[in-house]
Amino acid sequence: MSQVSPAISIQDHAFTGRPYNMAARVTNAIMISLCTLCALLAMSLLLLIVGYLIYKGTSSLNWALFTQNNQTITDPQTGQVVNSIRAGLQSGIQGTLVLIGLSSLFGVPVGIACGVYLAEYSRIAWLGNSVRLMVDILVGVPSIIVGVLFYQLVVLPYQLSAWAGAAALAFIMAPIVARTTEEMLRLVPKSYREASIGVGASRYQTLFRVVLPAASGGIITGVMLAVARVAGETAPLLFTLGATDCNVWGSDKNLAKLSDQFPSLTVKIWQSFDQDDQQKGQAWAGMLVLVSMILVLNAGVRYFSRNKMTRT
Amino acid sequence: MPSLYTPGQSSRTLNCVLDFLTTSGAVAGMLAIVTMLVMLVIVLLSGAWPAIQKFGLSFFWTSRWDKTENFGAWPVIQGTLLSSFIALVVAVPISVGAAVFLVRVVPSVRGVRWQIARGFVAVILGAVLFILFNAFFSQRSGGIAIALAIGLATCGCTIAFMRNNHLIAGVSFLIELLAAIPSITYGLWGIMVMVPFIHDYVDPIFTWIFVTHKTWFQWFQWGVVNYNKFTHKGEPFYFPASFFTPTATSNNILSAGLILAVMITPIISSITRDVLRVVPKDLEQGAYGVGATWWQATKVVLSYSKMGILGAVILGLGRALGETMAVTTIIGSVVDKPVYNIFQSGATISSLLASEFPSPLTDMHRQSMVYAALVLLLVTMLINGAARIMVISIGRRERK
Repeated sequence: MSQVSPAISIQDHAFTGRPYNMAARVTNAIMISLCTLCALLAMSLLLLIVGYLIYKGTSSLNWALFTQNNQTITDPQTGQVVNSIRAGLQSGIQGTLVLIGLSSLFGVPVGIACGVYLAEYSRIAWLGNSVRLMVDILVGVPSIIVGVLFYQLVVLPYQLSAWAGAAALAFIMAPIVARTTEEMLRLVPKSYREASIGVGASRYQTLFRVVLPAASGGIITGVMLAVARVAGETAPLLFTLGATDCNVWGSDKNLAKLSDQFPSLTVKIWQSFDQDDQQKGQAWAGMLVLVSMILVLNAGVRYFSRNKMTRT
Repeated sequence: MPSLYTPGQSSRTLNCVLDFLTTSGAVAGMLAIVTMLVMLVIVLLSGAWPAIQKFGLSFFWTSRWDKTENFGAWPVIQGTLLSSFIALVVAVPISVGAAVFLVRVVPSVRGVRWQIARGFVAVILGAVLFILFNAFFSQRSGGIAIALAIGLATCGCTIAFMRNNHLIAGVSFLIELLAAIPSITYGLWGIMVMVPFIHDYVDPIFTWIFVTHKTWFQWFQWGVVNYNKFTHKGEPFYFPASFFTPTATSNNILSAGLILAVMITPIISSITRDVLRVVPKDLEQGAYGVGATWWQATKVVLSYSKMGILGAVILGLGRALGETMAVTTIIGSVVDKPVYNIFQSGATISSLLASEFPSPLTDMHRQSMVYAALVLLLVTMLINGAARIMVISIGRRERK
């Protein structure tokens, strides 16, 4: 390839050390701009999605969303659905809160226990490594397969119930909590443990009084991130929960029971996708509530933990 | 030996008992996780067993789904693989580019910053002008294109005038927030915003390339589609012309692949960022020392981290394979026709499960769906295991 004769003298290039090869410089400039454009695109996509959500959701946001319920009026004689009034998502919001609480009750202790085992108690190397591999595999299992699992396990023998849904969510939550707990416990310096044993503490005292409190910030972060992930899950709940418009607590006549079909915000939003545009407003408003809760949880957690984790 | 008994200190036996309880609690947690994985595989196997006995391995290459007795999952497997492949092709350059921007471009010397400013101002202005020109002269609303252009311009100005550390933290925070959005939101946004955008702006490109100039792209013929039994004729199927021909529906595999690309971008980007950060500084300093440009030094860094980036890509692939709700809204749910065009409606295994599992028509229907779920589970397990081997070894190296 013929050399491009430089526009300025060799003296200047001796100082800068930059190549005067035109092709390299042009490629350089193009690639820098391309990388910048890729980062810009990724950021703009987020702003686009959130912006559109806010734009569409706020127009349908009203207090009735939180205080009223959808009603389907069925003809008592034929059993056909005559009319459905989309008034609010109160049962969905209550149901999701209850489901998150129930699944955390089951999933978080199992996850923390496994994390503690992997970080503190594992002595046999191959066992610890294979359990770590299993945790990573479980984190990557698609959530709809977890729903299929609990359909086969709980719904087929018994019925659609909140227990099946909460168990599916706990199944998703436990490996995430286990992984972050193990990472946080490994970040606690060894000197803490050694000092604690040096003043005469037994093993459980070291764990509960020194190590866990030191890692508690990170562990709580991990738990909240897992809760935020599980709050937005729809797939495992589709066929383990069923659908109902009854409230979970309150002064209604018939409340939804845990052992029966249970309401959930995400499933309700999913079911209102098929409605026409006028009633889709409720889907947007519900989604705004859900996404703002999840984003606030995520953003707050990441902001407050930016010193503890090793990434920026 | 007398036991030292100070007030507030529990007895030795109590310590032993509590130690034992704590240890057994931890071991119980570990056993629970092991049981979860084993239970998952065994329950799915037993649930799918009648279907496995009936169809065996021919399940994988037959194309039939009549919802009562005969099932063959080849179209859904094709749909899964195709949509994930499209997602990877689109997402990997964008995510790796964003990661390179965060790790290599922003911390560079000030001179590079002004090159960036000049470079993207030109690009942004060009994009904005092009989009406005298009919208004006073709009299379409072009709303989403204008919003995208404004978004790019805003981000661009932010990048030009922000300090380095805040910039890295802010941009990576925003990209990781993409991972926090639930997938039904992606589904609704996709079908209301992205699918019309693709229909308006991406379809014409493909039409121009593969339909108007289809004679350039009829490289070889694979057979016929839409075979009519009465006239004994069918349309010839050329690769790649017929593969990329836009059709009437916008709910197609390409749209699903593109929304999957948006969803896996944060995963690939954040892992690539971690991988690029642990590259030893001697490599790029050596490259600069022999007179490389920024891009040549970055090429050295990227080739050093090849395995880590490959691991990140495979993790993104694992996520794309299992994604359900967004894909189900967009892909159109046609499960019995094999895929011969990325612009046709199809289905993935997860979208099949989401749409048909709540109400199976027969027992064999349900068992076949569990068989498909088992296939998806095994593929996902393999992929996640492989990715973990490539990525975690680099992560653990960093922590030491």
